[in-house]
Formats: sequence, structure tokens, C-alpha cells
Amino acid sequence: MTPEQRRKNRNTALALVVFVIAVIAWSFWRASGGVGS
Amino acid sequence: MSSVTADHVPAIQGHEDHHHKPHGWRRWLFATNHKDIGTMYLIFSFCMLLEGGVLALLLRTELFSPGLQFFRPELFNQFTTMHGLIMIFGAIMPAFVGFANWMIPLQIGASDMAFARMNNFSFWLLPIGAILFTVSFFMPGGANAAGWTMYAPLSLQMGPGMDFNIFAVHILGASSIMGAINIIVTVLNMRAPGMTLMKMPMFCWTWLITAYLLLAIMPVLAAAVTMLLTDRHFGTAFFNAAAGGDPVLYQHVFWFFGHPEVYVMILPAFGIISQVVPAFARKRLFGYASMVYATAAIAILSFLVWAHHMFATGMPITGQLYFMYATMLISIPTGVKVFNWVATMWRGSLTFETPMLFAVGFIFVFVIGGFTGLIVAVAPIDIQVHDTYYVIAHFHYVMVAGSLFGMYAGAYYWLPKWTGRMYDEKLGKLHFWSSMISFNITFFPMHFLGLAGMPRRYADYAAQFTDFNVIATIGAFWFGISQLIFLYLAVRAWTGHGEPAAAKSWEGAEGLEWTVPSPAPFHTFVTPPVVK
Repeated sequence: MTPEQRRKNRNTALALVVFVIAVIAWSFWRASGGVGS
Repeated sequence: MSSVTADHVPAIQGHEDHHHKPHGWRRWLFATNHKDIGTMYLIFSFCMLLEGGVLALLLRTELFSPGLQFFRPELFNQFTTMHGLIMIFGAIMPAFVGFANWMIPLQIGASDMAFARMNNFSFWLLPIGAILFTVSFFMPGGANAAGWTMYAPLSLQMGPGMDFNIFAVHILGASSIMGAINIIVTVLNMRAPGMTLMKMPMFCWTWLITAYLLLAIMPVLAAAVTMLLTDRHFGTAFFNAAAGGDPVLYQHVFWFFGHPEVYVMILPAFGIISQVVPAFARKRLFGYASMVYATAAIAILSFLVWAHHMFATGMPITGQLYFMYATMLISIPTGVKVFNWVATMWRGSLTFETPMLFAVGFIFVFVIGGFTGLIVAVAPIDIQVHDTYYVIAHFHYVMVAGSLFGMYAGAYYWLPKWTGRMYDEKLGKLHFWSSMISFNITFFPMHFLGLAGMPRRYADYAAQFTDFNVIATIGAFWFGISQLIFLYLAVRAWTGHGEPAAAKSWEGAEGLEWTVPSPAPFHTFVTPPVVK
């Protein structure tokens, strides 16, 4: 695997990790009435 | 899918198999090779299938006749719960990740998965989760008995076995998320030159979409069980009505995960069937592009229908109507898939080796499960059959006849590539027919039991339900014993028995995986093939 490909893989994975963290945060926010039920 | 051919593939195989192949226990504990990790996933998931299967047989033993024979109701409920959790998180999901590990790099012409060490970590989290599930039976109060859905408030009142469960779900969820990230990055970034997305085999497409589904839903499950944990031990009140929380909220959060989860367990099977049917019909897959779009449509719609599991909680009529019609909408892309499989077979040069038998069997019984799904989608009927054996019958037609038969189709199809040996065709066919008949004997009567009002998750039942329960129990033991045929065939092939398999083990098989020798060398596609 070339360094360029490693960098590309890492960046894609980081974007996906950010998405996962956002979904967890969204779940807690919604469950605690975050939109003002 | 376009017909994929690769330049100079055999030429790159020669020297690759001799380098960097570790031996002994280190090969497995520190495995970073996608094939080794795939093998470990498959072995692990089959062990969990046996564990979950034994729990199912214990349930059927108790239900052989009315009254309490062998188990206290509390223990029976632990068996039902753990059967579901172990089959979903321990057997079906890891098995498909095993298929993905083995086949995706081979099918897209990649040398390995994108993150080999994370791949190892993803796998080794699984036994830890499995141990937590299993030892929870020995905790004070026993294992989780609140059902695999872990509904509040019951799950808030369970003993420490529930905490083990929550922790296990966290660990297995983390494993799934890492696996999904690995698959997405591999498919998006590591395809061989010329392997465009619309040339990819359908199995890769269905797994790419499944991986996105996993990334969107596993964090929701993690959040839901974390909220359960904090409600249980840290004084929060998400779901505790006595403290101002809302138990129905748990159901909403859970099913936002739970319904797409059903598709996580079936889309990879769709992918496998889309590989097997063209190979044994000796035709290209009918409507490749529509298959891709139908898979994506199913995945998107799966996020919009979660509350059809909750009609019985009480819901405004507009809500019921929305979830009812949205659920029915899923039958359209699913119907596209079934149509395309049948159209692929139409006027093909069909032969019915074991993988094809399981594929055709899959289509037949999965469609029955799909139709009963349409029936329970209708809110007034659902309220009648909610929590009855009708629902058990429905989802076992989808999960056993769907996911499991799909896996068997794939396992027999790729076993020669994995092991370098052909399995015994007669025994393979015996496995299929024995499984197909016994499966229907087990689960078809449950439709009648459910329609007659037999509730699920009870150790006892009224005497009028006896006959169908006797039939179901006999079928269940027959089905369980039938799976030992597969175990025998797989062990035989893996230990080097049977006829040597050719690189292209099936006449009609297409794709890059059939351009490498059988068994697939330890390293493949170190130099990426050029796909035309």
C-alpha cells in the first residue's frame, strides 16, 4: 500500500468515525428531549 | 455486472504465497491477513450458531407438551432472550463479516482489507462479547430475560446479568462499527484499476450498503443501552416512568436501530444469492443496475418504518397509517430483486448443485417470510397477532430461511475457493433437502399457532395448541441435527479431504476470485490486476 493510499484510507475512516460520534450524540440529544418535546 | 476479466493475474500469484506466512498460534492471534480473519469469523459464527441452536432446542423441548416439564419460566425467558441475542450478534452478523473478509478483497482485486490490524481487533472483540453473553447465565438472577429487545422497564429491573448483556452489546457493536469502517474504506479506496463501482460484484455492493447501515444504527443501539445502564446505576431517568422517563421512548430508539438491523442481516444474503444464481444459470445477472438501486432503496426505507414494531403501544391513526404504508413500500424494491433473480434463471442453462439449491430455496422461503411481513405490516392485523407465534414464524422465515440459507448458498459456492477441495455433492444436497423440509415443519405450524392466539415468550400454553407444538419440536430437532451434515462437510474440506478444486470451481462462475488458484494463496493481488 502506498503512503498516498494510506493517507486516503485514514482520511475516509476519520470521516466515518466523526459520523459515528455524531450519531451517538444525536441519539442522546433526542432521547433527553433535545428538540423541545 | 459487466463481465469482469483481469490481465496477467495468474502470473502475479507465483511468488506471493511463500512470504510472510506466520505459523502456529501466532498466525491466528495476531492475524492481519483477510483470509485468516475471515476464516476465524466463520468458525466463530458457526460455534455461536450451535450455541444459539442448543438454546432453541431447549426451548422446543420445554414446549413439546403443555405444562412445565424441565425449566422454570424465568429460565425459559433467559433462553429465549439469549437465543435471540446470540443468533443475531454472535452468529448471523459475524458470519457475514466473515464472508466479507474473505471475498471483498478477492472480488475487487485488493491485496487485503484497508486496516488489517483493526480487522484483527474487530474479530478478537467477538469472543469477549460471546463470553459475557454466556457467563451471564451464572450471574445472580441469571441472564437477561427481558427479550433480545431489552425493553424498559423490565430491563431496568433485571439483575447484574443485564449489565453483562449491555457490556457485551457495547463490545459487539464496537466490533461491528470497526468492521463496517474497514469494509467501506476497502471498497471505496482499494478497488483494482478498472474496477468501477458499477462493475463490482453484487456481494460487494450489498456489503457496502450494509456497512453504511451499520454505521448509522450501531451508534443508536450503543446510545440506547448506555441510557439503560445509566438509568440502572447512575440515577438518570430516560426510560423510568416512576422518575419522569418514558419506557416507550426506549422502543422508539431501539427500533430505529432494530429495523435496519433486519436488513443488515439480509442484504449480504441478497448479495450472495445474486452471485450464485447467475453462476448456475450460466447467464449474467438480470438488471444489475436495478439490483444496486433496489438495495439502496431498501436501506433508505428501512430507516423510515421503525414504529411498525410498536403498533400495540398505542399510536395516533395517522402514525399507524404512515408506518403501515411506508412498510409496504419496502416490498417494491424487494420485489425488484426477486423478479431479477427469477429473470436471471429464465431460459438459463440451469443446474442444481448445492449452492443453487440453497439459493432457489432461499428465494422460495424468503418470499413467504416477505409476504407474512406484509401481513403484519397492516396495523389492525398486527394488533391481533402482536407477540404471538405468527411473528416468530414470520421472522424465522426471514432470518433462518433468508439469512442462514443465503449463507449456506455462499459457503458451498466459495468453499472450494477457501479450502481447495470440493465437498461431497450428495451430502450437500442431503443437507439442503433435510434443512428445507425440517425448517418448514418447524416454523410453518407457528403461523397457525399465532393466528389461534398462542403468545410467545411463555414456557407453558393451553392444551389446544399441543399438536402444532409437537410438530414444531420434532421439526426443530430434525433441523438441528441436519446442520451437522454441513459441519462434517466443512471440516472435511478444511482438513484437505475431497477432490482438489480448480481455480474456477464452477463452470458459470465469474469474477476476480475465480482467477486465483484454489485454495486462494495467502497473499493475492499484491500487484493489482487490471480489470477490463
